[in-house]
Amino acid sequence: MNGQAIEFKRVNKWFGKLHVLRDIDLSIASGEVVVVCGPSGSGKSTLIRCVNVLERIQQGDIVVLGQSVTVPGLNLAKLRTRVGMVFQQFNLFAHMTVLQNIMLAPMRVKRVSRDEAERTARALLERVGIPHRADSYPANLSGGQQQRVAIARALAMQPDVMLFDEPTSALDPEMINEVLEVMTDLARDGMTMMCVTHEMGFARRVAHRVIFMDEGQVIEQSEPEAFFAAPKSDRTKQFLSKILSH
Amino acid sequence: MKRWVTMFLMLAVAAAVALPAAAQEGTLDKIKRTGVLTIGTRTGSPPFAYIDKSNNWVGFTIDLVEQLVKPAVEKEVGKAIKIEKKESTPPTRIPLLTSNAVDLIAGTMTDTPQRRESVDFSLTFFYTGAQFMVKKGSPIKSINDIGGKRVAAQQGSTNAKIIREKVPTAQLREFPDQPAAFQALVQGQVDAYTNDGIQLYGLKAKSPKPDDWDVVGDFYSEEPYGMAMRKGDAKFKAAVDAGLKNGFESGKYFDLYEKWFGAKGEVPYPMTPQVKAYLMKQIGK
Amino acid sequence: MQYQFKWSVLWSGQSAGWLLQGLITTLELSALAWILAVCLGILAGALRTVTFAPLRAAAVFYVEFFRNVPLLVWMFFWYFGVPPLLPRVVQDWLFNHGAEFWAAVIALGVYTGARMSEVIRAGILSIPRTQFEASLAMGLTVGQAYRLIILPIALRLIVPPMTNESLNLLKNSSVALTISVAELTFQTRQVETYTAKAIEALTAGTLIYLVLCLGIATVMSRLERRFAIPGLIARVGAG
Ligand SMILES: Nc1ncnc2c1ncn2[C@@H]1O[C@H](COP(=O)(O)OP(=O)(O)OP(=O)(O)O)[C@@H](O)[C@H]1O
Ligand SMILES: [Mg+2]
Repeated sequence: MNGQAIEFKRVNKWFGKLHVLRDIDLSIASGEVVVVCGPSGSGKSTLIRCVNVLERIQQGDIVVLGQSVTVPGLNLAKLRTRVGMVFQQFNLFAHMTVLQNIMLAPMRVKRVSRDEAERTARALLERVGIPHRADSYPANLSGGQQQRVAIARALAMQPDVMLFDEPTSALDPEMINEVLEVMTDLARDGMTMMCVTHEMGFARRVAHRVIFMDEGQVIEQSEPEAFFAAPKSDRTKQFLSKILSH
Repeated sequence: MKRWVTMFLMLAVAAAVALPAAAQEGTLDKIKRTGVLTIGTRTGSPPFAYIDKSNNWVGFTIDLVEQLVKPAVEKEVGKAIKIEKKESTPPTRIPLLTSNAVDLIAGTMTDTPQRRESVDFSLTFFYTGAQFMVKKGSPIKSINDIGGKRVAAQQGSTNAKIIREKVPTAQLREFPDQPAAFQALVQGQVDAYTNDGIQLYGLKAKSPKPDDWDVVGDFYSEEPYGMAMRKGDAKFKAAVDAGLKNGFESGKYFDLYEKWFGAKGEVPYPMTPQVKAYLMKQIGK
Repeated sequence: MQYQFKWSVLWSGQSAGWLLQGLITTLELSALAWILAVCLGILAGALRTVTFAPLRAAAVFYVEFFRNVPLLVWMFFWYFGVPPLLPRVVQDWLFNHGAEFWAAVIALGVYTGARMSEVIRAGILSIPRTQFEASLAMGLTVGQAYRLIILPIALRLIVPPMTNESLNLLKNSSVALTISVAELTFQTRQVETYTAKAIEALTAGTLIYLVLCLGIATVMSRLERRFAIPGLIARVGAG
């Protein structure tokens, strides 16, 4: 699939009186990897949560894989099967084994047979590097392992787009890399990805474009080289100086 | 069940604590020492014992205690005494008595052989028998007509027991109190309500439309009401009986009967000659 | 003059049979009411957490209305209040076929259901909202998310308070005697009436309830252990 995977068209969103997204115009091409960064509360999470309609927008439109999210009677479940999402807090289902977590949506939503779901699940575990933990329960895994399972779980639906909301910020430093590696592989395979993250190394190496948000607006967007070497706005500079000095 | 456990523990503790004292001291001695006769009675059994509209605890049985039993006891202990009243319900009254919480049960307790194994009874002070209350025009006229019918009774009453034995095909519905049983009769959950005749007359008199109801049937059980005392306390029993006997002889008892059950009384329930004969026979007249 | 204990009244005559019958009735009544209560509790508890306001309002109404009126009133309501709304023949049929018992089942079930729904709601709310979002993000419907994820986790978390409510239900079942259901307390009183042995009868009743409660508590703690989520709920000193 070529062309635009996600298009934001003058998107505005409020939480009550709080104006959290202001006139967002943004398109993400198929196969593109975009990193979104910005200070806390700037609206990054809200932005990507609007893509799979965990949040609704009040003005403008978002077209995801050719489908407008504002049409009445939209088949949400169908849209969401094509858009995978990985959360900061892993959100594995505690009462299910790793394998069951991954098999759940294919079986319940796509009506894939148990055998096929299991085959896919095991293959995905292989791909994220933890085939031996198939029968463990989430609580018995490390954070890094849990997040890798969460990625496998999202991939099990064979999505066309993957959304990541700070996938590594709840992890201990020594586990961050194992997750970033999986994400990097995914990017290399041509997945369309929209990642909220402050891992600037990852942005530099993997992203095609970095977007800086502040106060609900897209302040600046450019290729990583340019973004890090020559940020245009003062706010970007300020932000980068803060996070890169750490 | 919490209520249960508490009640049970209270009774058990009361029984255990009170035993040694009870063993040494007769009721009359106790009354002499304390100047108080404690009776266990009802708050909702008009006209025997109930709280009236002006919030006084009154009734026929209470009058009997105040006006007949009290003077007799005072004579025995040789000083003026006070009457104290406590609420006692059918399940609690015998334990209250044996645990010394009360000295005399003066309510609407029927004198039965089983109960005589646990307590002593005074002379009978009221005589009634079980009958049925039905909607006017009901085919039920007596205990012979209740086979297969739904009959309400009061839980724990001797009536329910007799129906169960005499007419096992009747469908008994036992309610803990009179209002619920009567409601069931009004709405047709049951075809008849059985209780002591006097209770039924009282209910009928107080119901919004007394003419809609009939009290039918001969007494199918005998319900002599007596006052209950701790078993084996002959002196106290003699004093209580003396008071009642004096009432029968002097006619004071009949004045009180007239006050509560006469034409102008709370529940008109004229005394039949048979009942009068039964009462007088107790004192050999 | 002392209280004469006579424990034999409990097994002589009809006492034992009555107590057994009362026990069976109590168990039947409690079991049926429990099933009703759990179904209603899950439904109302779940509905109280959904975003669709009318459903939430309906659930709130159910819970507040039923939980705040004494059980005794509900017994009377279902026994005295509801039948007159039915045709006379239906009423008669019901009154001849255990209307008391079913009124008690409904009263106890609906009342306890309202109380249980609070427990279940608390259980659901204790699950981070992001779990629900993760379910939706995978393409599950709201119904599936509740059925497959939220409720299975919530129900495991709330076993202890649910045990409490279940024990309350058992104890509350004695209120059914007010509408002439011959359950255990009723039969205990019956024994008392026949034998005039109150302490013995009360003791028997108390002991039977105690054993039942201990039984339920044991079963529930087995369930809790059986369905514990590995690694999530650490049980100290368990099995
Ligand atoms: N459900 C909500 N209801 C009301 N306000 C919300 C809600 N979710 C987010 N907000 C507010 O909207 C603003 C943007 O939130 P958002 O989570 O998108 O920020 P963010 O850039 O992801 O921040 P962080 O880096 O802390 O995750 C914040 O001020 C936040 O408090
Ligand atoms: Mg965020």
